Amino acid sequence: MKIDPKIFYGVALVGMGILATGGLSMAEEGESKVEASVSAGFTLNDTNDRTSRAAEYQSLGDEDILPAFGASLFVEQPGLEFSFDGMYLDDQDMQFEGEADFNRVFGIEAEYQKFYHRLAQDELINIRATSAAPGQGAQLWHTYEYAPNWDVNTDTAPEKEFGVNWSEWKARGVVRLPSLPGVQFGLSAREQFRQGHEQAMAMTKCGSCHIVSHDRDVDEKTLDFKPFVKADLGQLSLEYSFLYREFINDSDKAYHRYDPATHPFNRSSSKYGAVNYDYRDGDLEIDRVPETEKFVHTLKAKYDIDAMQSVFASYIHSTTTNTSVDELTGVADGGSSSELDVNYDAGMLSWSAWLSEALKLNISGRYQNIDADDATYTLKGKTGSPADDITYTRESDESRDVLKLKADVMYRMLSNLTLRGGYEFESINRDNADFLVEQDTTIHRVKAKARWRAARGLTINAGYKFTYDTDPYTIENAAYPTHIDLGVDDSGNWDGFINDPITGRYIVGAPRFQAKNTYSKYVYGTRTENMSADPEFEHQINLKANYVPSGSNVFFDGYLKYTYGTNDETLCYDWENQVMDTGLDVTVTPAQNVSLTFGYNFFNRQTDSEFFIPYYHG
Amino acid sequence: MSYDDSAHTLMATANWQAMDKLSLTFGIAYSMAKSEIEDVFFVSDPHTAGDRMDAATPWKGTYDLANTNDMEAYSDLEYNTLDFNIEALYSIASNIDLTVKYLLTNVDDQENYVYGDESGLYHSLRAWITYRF
Repeated sequence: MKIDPKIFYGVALVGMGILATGGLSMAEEGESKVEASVSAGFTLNDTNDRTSRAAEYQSLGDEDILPAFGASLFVEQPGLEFSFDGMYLDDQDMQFEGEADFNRVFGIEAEYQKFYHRLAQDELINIRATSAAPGQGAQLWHTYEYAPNWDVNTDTAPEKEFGVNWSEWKARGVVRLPSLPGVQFGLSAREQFRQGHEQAMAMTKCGSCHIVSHDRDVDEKTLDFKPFVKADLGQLSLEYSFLYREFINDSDKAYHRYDPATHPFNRSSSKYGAVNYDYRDGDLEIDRVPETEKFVHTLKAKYDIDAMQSVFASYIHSTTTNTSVDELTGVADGGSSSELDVNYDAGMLSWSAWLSEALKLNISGRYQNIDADDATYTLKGKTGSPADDITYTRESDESRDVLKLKADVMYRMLSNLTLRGGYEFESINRDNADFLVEQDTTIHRVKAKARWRAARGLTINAGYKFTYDTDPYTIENAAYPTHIDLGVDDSGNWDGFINDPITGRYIVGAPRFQAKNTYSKYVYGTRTENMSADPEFEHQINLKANYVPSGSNVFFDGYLKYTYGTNDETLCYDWENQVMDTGLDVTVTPAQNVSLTFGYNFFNRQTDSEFFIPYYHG
Repeated sequence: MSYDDSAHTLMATANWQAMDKLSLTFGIAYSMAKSEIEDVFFVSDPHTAGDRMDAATPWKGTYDLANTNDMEAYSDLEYNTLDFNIEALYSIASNIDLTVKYLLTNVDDQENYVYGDESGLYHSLRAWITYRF
């Protein structure tokens, strides 16, 4: 289903116009209030050196002097309210917003914004790998349109001005019919555009050395269309909404030429294809975001059982489909045979009650099911014959069931002291865990918080949260092939032998080349240790205080958040992560017409882990 | 290995109704951000001996410890950023205002790496007259 947004533009504008002008014409003298303003001026801009950071979101960075315009309008009278505000700097930088309400029966609000986002480029100069001189190895942009005449031996990168024009309009309209009190019908819509150019990079199996840069066209659109209905029926409140979202990719396709490897291998040799997963050559598409469609149904209900307790329930069902799969040429040429849908269902139930004047209890549960399609694809073999094809089905890592149960308590212990506490249980059951240590994960979270008005003008908030993950997400056998299996001795030199990692026996005189380039068996297959970056235990402290000394004109606001996580579950190393975020703001008003604010913030993150990267001869 | 990144940010703002017809707004922020990897160590690959600049045998010396373990410095990042703005609003008449605004952003890239030296300066002077009716 495709909705032409221009229809909505027109409805919104005409409606606003009728309301504004029609309302004005009915106004009696003295009852209406109209305020308007127009602004006209200029901007004078200049940049030095690079603009990708200094002017990352400044559209006017490239212009010297430009006119600037603005306008605002506010109309208020019985039965009508209308406002509009906008600023136009140039065709890449503008912002408008407006809203109107007619007799509380029809209301609409809309806004539009546009700006230019500057992007940098990876210069590829720092990837030398097996070669040390300029022009060798990584920065292979000179053979493509990126920089056709660039002299790679200069050891610098070609100048590229990448950037994306970002724009978005959104609108929301609500109808409240007097004949249906407590009921409102509404429609919200949004359309977002990204247009410009950015860097795209591609790599073959020789990728550690030979990464190639391309200039990629960007022309993308996201459309949201969401009708909804809400009903407040005394003790019962209901809400239903339907969201249709479409992502459309009109960008020019980017291609990379995957030639059979010719260096350092001889194309006529039977071994040359070992450096590529796929034996096809020619131009293949790279770096493309697939088009998608998404449908979401949301139903919410709240029932006030009595003045002290209420219950809330919700249900969500959504389906997301990759609509670009049909563009591929099919399984025979390596395309996926699956539509690649993701279905999501979630139900939530919550009960909240004041057990006494000072004690409130909330219990809730949520169940989620994610069901994602598997993808089957085929890689062509050495001879190109179907007999050599390798067909593989990649099961989705997203498919899972998640159950979450929570209990929270709030207790007003004293008039100036409120305590909160809670416990949360989460269970994750994955459908597929081919590369993981554990299929299921259980997480326990305990939290406590206090808010204390310690003295006149002084309020302190303190909180602590403890998380225990019984089986953190861990990739099995992700690192550390033993050097014996790789055929090297303790000093890192080739020992002249090839040890079969399956039998443990060595094969004297076996050509090392042949063994070392069958990665799936002799490199990936020999890895022995697990790796993870999720905490098993995590502690988090939150402190916040604000202080206004009595009779003073100074206001202090301080905060601190510290998180510490560890994990040595089935790992051969100790993983540790610390995050600190703290700061202080001071506001001073030394006189009635002067206000000063000073602030300091410190952010620090430290991670201790094993650093394992596979790199190849290329 | 140990990965460490941190940022210090200092800021100050001021609002001053200097006269009945003139109000001033001032803001400045200075941030210092730094990231680095320490204690990186790789076990060498067999191709360790020799001169990697030798075109005849380009593989030699490729994964020598002296070359691969310099990676710690490759990942160092350090940016200092200064943001400054000042705005003056003057009421020429009861329904006419003059606004003048100046913005400045200066980025000092002290440890450039993947994206090259991203040091740069942007500044903008903006002025407009607003008529209310």
